[in-house]
Amino acid sequence: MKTLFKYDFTYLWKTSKFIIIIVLGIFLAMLSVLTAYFLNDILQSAFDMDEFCIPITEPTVYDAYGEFFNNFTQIYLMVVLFLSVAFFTRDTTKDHLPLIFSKPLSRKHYVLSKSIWYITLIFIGLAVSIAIFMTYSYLLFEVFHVGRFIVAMLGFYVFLLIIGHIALLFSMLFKSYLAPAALTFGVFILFTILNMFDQGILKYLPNQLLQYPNLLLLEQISYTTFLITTVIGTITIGLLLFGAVQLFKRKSLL
Amino acid sequence: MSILRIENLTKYYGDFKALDNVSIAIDKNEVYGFIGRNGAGKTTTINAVLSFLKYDSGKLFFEDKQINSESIEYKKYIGYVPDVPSFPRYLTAREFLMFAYDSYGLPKSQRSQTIDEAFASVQLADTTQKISSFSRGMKQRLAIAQALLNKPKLLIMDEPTSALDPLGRRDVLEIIKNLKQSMTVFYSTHILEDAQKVCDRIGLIENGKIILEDRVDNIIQAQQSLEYLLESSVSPESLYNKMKTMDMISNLQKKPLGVSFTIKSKETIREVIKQLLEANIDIVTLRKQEKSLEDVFVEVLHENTV
Repeated sequence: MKTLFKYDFTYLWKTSKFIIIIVLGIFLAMLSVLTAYFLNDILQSAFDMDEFCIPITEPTVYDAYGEFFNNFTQIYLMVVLFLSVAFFTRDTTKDHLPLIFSKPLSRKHYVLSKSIWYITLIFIGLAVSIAIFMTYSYLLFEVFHVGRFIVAMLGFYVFLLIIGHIALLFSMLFKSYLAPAALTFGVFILFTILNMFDQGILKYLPNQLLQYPNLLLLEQISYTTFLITTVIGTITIGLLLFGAVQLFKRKSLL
Repeated sequence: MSILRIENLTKYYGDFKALDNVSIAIDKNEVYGFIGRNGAGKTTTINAVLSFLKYDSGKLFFEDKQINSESIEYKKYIGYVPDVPSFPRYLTAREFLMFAYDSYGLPKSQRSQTIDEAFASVQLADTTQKISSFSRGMKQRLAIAQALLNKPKLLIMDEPTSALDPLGRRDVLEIIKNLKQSMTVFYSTHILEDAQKVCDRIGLIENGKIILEDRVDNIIQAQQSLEYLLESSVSPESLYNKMKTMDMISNLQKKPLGVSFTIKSKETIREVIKQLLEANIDIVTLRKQEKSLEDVFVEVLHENTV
C-alpha cells in the first residue's frame, strides 16, 4: 500500500497535477473576493453608469460567497473532474498495469491509494483556497462567517468527492480516458438537472450538495437537511469506492 | 518438483478458444522456450499465470501451491519482462527501479546496492535521463533489470527480443544465457533461432494447444535428417550416374558441385562410402544436411495443419 501511495504521489507531483489543483484554488479564491469587491468599480469603468440610472448596492461578503461558489462549482469542479480521470486512467491508457501487477501488489490497495490521494489532494486544495478566501474576504469586507462557511464547504467537498469517485468507478470500467471523462461529465450534467427537483426525499439526494453550500450560507436551507444530505453523500462515496474496487478486481489488465 | 505447473488451462475470448487445455510443467533451473506463431496463445498463457486476466478453467501451481487470480504472494518470487515494456515517462530508470524494489517488500538497507547490481547486470547506465528519452533497447534492458531485483525463482519473458534490432537481440540472449545458471526462465518467443540458442526444453503452441514438448536436443535428434550432400572430384553428372544404381539411397539429385541423396537409415551411410571408394570416386566432402529447430517446427506445424 505504501509503495502504491508513493507511486501515486510521484505521479501527481511530477506531472504538476498537485500544484495545478492548489494554485487554481488559490487563484479562484482570490479572484472571487476581488471580483465581488471591485465589481462596481469594474462596471463603472466599463460603462458610464450615470446614463443607465441603475442603483448599484455596495458589495457585501455574501457577494464574495456567491462568486466563490460560482467559480468553484464551474471552473474548479471541471478541472478537478478531468484531472482526476487522467489520474485514475493513466496506468491503463499508458499500459503500465502489467509491470505494476507483475509485482506482489493488491488490486484493492491500488484503487484505495488512488482514492486516498484524490481525497487528500482535494482536501488540501480546498483548505488552502478557503484560508486564502477567508483572509482576503476579512481584509476587504471586515466580516466573515467562519463556522457557517466551513460547514458549507464540507458539503462542497463531499460533492467533489462524489464526482471524483464516479470518475474512479468509470475509470475501472473502461480502458480509455475519453469514456470515463465523458460519462462523469454526463453524470454531472444529470446532477445539475436533478437539482431542479428538491421536493420530498429528493432534497436529500447527494446531487443537491452542488447548490446546498451556497443556500446554507444564504440561510435558505436548514442545517438538518444539509447534514442529512452530506451523510448520504458520504455513504454514496463509500459505495462508489466499493464498486470501483470490485470492478478493478475483475478487470483484465490488458 | 516443478516450479510452475499449468494444468488444462482453457481461455475463451467470446466464442474464440484462445487456450485449449494447455498443460505445461517447468522444472527448476531450466530455460523453457514457449514457442508459437503470433496469436497462438503464448501471451494469453503468460497473462493467466500472472493473473492479468481470468481464465475459464484449469489450474495453476507455483512450487506445487495452487494459485489463482487473487493470489499475490507467489509474485514475490517471479520476475516479468513484457514484450514492449511501458514505463511512466516522468520517472528516471533509478526511480522506477526503486518503485519496483519497494513493491517486493525487500529491505530498504539493500535497495541501493541491489539497484546498482541490476543496472550492471543489464549494462544500463544509471543516468538522470527520464525514461521517456530511452531507446527501445534501453527500455528492454530496464525491463529485465526491474525483473531481477527480487532475484526471482522464475523469470517470465514474453517475447523480449521481438521488438529489438539484431544487436539488442544478441545482448538480451546473452543476458538470458548468464541468468540460466541461477534461475528458471520461461521464455516465450516466435524467433526459433533465439530459442535454439538459449532453451533447454521447449513447448510448441498452436491454436491454443500444445502440440510438441521436449528437450531441444531430443527434438532435433528425433527429427534429424538423413539427407546428405556429396562433392567429388568427378563431375556431378558421372557421380549421379554411378550412384543411381545404389538401392540403399533415394531422392538422388544433381547439385552444382555434386549430388544430394537420402539414406534409408543412419547405418547405411557406411555402405554408401564403401561402394563409392570401391568405384574409385574421390570424396571431397560428405555433409549431412542439418535441420534447425525452425525446419523441425515447420514440419510439425505442417503435419498438424494438414
